[in-house]
Amino acid sequence: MSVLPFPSFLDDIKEKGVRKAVMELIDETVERITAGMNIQDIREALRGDPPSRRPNPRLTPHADAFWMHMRPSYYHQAVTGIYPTFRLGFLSTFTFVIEIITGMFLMIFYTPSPTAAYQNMINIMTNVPLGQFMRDLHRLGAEAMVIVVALHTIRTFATGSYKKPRQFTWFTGMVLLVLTLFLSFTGYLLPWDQLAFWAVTIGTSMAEAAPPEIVGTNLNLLLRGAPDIGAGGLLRFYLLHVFLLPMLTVIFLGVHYYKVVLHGHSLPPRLEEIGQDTAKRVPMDKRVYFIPDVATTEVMWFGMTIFVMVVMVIWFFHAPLETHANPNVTPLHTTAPWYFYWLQGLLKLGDKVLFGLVLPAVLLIAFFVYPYLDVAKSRRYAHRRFQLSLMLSFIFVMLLLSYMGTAKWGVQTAGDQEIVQALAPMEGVGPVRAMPFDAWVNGTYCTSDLDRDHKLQHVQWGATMPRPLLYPDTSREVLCQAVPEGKMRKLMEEFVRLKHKWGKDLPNVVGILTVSDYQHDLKRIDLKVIWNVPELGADGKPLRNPDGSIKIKMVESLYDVDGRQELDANGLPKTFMVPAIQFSGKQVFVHRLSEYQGVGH
Amino acid sequence: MSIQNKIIVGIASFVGTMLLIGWVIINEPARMEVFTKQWEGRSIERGAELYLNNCYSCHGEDGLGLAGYAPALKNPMLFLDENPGKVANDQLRALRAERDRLVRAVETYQADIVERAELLARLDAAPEGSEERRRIQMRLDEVDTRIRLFDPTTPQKIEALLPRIAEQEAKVEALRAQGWELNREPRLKELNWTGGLEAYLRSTLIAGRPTSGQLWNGNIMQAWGQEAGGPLRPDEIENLVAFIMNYREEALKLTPNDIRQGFKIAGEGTVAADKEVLGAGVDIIALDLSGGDVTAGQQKYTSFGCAACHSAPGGAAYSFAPTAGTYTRVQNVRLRLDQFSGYTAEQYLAESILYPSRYIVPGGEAVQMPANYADQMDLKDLRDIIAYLSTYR
Repeated sequence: MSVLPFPSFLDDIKEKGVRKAVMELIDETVERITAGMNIQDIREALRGDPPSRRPNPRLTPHADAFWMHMRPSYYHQAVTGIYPTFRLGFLSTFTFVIEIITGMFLMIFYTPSPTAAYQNMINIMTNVPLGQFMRDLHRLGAEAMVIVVALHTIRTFATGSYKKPRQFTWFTGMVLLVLTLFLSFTGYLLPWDQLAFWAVTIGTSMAEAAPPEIVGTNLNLLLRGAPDIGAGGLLRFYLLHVFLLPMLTVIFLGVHYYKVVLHGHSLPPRLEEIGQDTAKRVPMDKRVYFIPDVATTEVMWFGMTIFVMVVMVIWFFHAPLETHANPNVTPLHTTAPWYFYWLQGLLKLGDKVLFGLVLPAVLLIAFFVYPYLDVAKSRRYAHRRFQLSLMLSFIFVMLLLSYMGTAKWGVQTAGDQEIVQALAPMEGVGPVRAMPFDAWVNGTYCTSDLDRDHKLQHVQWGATMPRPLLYPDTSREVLCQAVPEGKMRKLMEEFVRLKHKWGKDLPNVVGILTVSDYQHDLKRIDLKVIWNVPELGADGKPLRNPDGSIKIKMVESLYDVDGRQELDANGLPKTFMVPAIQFSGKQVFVHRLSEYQGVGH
Repeated sequence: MSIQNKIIVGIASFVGTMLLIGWVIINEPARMEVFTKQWEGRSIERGAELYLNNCYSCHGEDGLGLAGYAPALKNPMLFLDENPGKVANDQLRALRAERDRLVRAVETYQADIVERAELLARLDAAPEGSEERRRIQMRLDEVDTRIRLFDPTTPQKIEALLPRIAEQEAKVEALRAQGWELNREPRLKELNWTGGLEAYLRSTLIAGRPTSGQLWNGNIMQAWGQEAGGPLRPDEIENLVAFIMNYREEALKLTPNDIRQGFKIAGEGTVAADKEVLGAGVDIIALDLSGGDVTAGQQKYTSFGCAACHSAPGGAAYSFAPTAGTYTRVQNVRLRLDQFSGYTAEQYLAESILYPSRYIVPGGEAVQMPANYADQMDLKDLRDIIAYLSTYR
């Protein structure tokens, strides 16, 4: 008879005693949660012992549980090592999961509006506990995901795993590669800083080039929400980034992984007869069961990878945040995101439509359909020398194009601008901002001589200086001071080095650095590059003197080179021929609190 | 690797990760504080760049304003809660009022003594039980009470007050000499602004001062915020606010004499009412420009804001038509031009000051120099400045 008016746990206790009844209850609960494995089964699995009861309880979760049914119950021993998969598929999924988790965290603090987004970034960095950590992790995960997915593609090609029957798996993999690039690219814009704005402006300008014009224009409008990126474009990118693209990725990831499980992981080529696919026919002695072997391996890898990523974001990797997006100012050397460098490199080769759209589109289509075209049966490396050479050449060309896509290749900029940019870049830090505040010593220093006080040679006597004035005022005599030892000296030595590097086309170029107080705890640093103007020939190139030096343009002046004026016999001021002088540069302000050398960059 | 080793490595990794994240969490408050400071610094830096691009031509490169053009922002009256001149003057007024009250008390006491003697005499004269006698007695009681209540130390108190008043007078005078106006409140108080200084700056930057043209001879503080039709984004406005707020430290050490131009309020004249200004349209050739005072001219060269653009030695550093060599340049170059035949150097300078756009030096800009000096200067001002400029040979 029941203790209560209905059957209950108390009856069990009455019958078996408290200890036994409770243990049995726990065991049963565990078995329900694991969909088939009780405590004893788990203990055996983790010890590496064979299962003690039949049917094998380690297989029931694969049959009964939702998450586990997606995973194969055993793998071929040959695919569980580092080679041939390098665990790149696992890592791709892993980074995607990291992105979803960190992304949801960041979403809480983000508003997709040009007036709020950048402020949100600063808020995340200054006011949200773990904000910087999560942002760095999200960014690192994004960069890692692009690399890992690309490597995964290369590996699949190298081992010939795209071949029949896995053509469609490759196809969905290509979709995922493209989605990964777009996920990363759409996320690029969201901080709404200069880096984001201009990288995406360059990236989306490709769409505008699509012929005919009506297509390009409307494609651009569709993407940016307006002729230029603004509130509409930001919202569209945001929705793509957090909704449409992740949704598509989840769907295609499902299809991709379904196909992987369906066909099994392809074995290393040498293990199979040519034309055979034995991935699903695993002999008993080659089986490695998911529980416990693969599962523990995966959890170990998960733990190790997350540990490495955490170490990276704490000490080595910080997501950049530049100044607020400004459609009116294009930073010097602005580029697309690094994984589109190759596209920028292509664009430098010529026609925007051909190299920016047609060629990449043809390449992409070729990638998608490649498994359906390459029907040769053998996956062995020795039989695929042509394909492997093709792959290596393609990788080489992509790296080359990527290099060509950087600002280092084929971009004409004036040397004087490069010098100033290298010292104090428009975005980022550079040696000037990295100087500790207290290391600044007020004064005017010139690259012409670091050791002695001396007068600057280039003086535009009586000239009209544009305002606001770039210190020092070179329309009158300028005294350059000897550079004090220490960090100031190091900075000026860098200035001299840059002058030699970039100043080849600037005759008699001198770099001047002026440090002054501008406000409480605020220094004003003026970087000025001053040089003689070369006399240009009809071809626009500088003329040369007989000794090979650049010929300097001479201009009329009411002052001689030493600033003297003279009257002629009629009492009129004399004119002198003096070397023409030109200068450029910029002001940089440095506040004591900024600490550019510290965290945040 | 055996399954046990995998488990150990996995657990070690997770524990390591947790420890690291724990360490990050412990350090978060400090990190966020450091970060906040860094962004404050960077905001000021960007504000400085914006100031140099947009604001300096009216408010001065050093933030001290341009006379007759725009007020100083590195200005104690912007940052102080109280105007020391007004505070001291109010204290002086209170001391004087106290002195006056005490003097009146003594005077009343003395009058009461006299009246008492008189009333006593009249009381003796009045018939016993008469209505008149009753009235005199009532008055006498009143006067007696006042005399009884009089503080006999009042004269000493007055004596004690006098040196304090003299001291306070000297203090007020010293503050007045530093340029503190005795009856004006600092900026925010004067405008009855209750929202704090940053909000005031933000609001002014965004919306400008639509009516400021009336105060500044047509020179207007335009709206700078995009919200109000200006060119600057909200974050840029914030950077400028941070930059201007960073003047506090320096501004609080200044006196109104250190700045070129203070604030104006509506209704205030732009020049002293009793000043006979030259007035727009005055004929330069008819003026006697001789006899200026070089020292006064030097001072006026600064107070009228000339030095802010035309650099004087040791003055502001950017130059447009540099002060150095002015007289020689006029004599040797300008006067040789046909349109100035018959001009003296003084007349050329006078025309350049009063009518800056009549002749633009090749390469010069017409728009920058204010064209309202005829409405600000009297003949002596003009003579003094010309005399000062004539020393630059």
